[in-house]
Amino acid sequence: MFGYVEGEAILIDLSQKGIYVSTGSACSATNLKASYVLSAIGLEKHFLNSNIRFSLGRFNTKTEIDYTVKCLAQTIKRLRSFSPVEKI
Amino acid sequence: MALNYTKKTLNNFLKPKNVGSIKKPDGYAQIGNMVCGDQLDFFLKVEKGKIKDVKFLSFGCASNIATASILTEKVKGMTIAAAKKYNWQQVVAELGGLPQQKVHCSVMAVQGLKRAINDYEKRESKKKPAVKKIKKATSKKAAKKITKKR
Repeated sequence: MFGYVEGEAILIDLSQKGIYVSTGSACSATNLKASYVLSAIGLEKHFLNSNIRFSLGRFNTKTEIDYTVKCLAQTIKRLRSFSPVEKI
Repeated sequence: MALNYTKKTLNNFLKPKNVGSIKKPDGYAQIGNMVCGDQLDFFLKVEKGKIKDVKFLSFGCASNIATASILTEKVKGMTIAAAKKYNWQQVVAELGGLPQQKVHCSVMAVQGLKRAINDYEKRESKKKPAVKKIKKATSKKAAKKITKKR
């Protein structure tokens, strides 16, 4: 969960850096509704659109993960810099 | 499900123009909310009936950011009347098209800007009677002074 930033924006930004994530499960790929699973585990309403899912395989390396973490920090920082949402 | 954004849309998302806020704006509006998944805030600075500066803040997807960026680029320097007529079809055309499920972003951006213009016009219309009131008040004072003198 990355508060104050929208999931799809994170997805597109990361995809430009060669990192591919998703905003929801494959079975809900065609709808834009917020995840009922996340809401069931108690995530507050205004954070339901701020999530991405990372999928890892056995062939992913530590280097790739380090690169992802570095890029993710940049992406979130950039998107938050012009987010209108007051920090709660 | 891959979304096919045009190069121009991606560029406007990766390097959006006019992001930020304006202190003491002449017009301001917020549209959408976090629960729905998109929110835009528009700030206007107007001078002599023209949009001198316009800025936006965004909580939204890539096309939400890109449409607000291109829209603000286009209306900057326009007269208020011309900016009001700028429609979402023009935004979509300017970006070279948007995926169908993302067209609503352009509609929302245009609506948000219109609300900010409405806010500006409301503030302007409130300013005018205020000026008249002051004039009346001063004239009453002046009248009292005159009567006191008498």
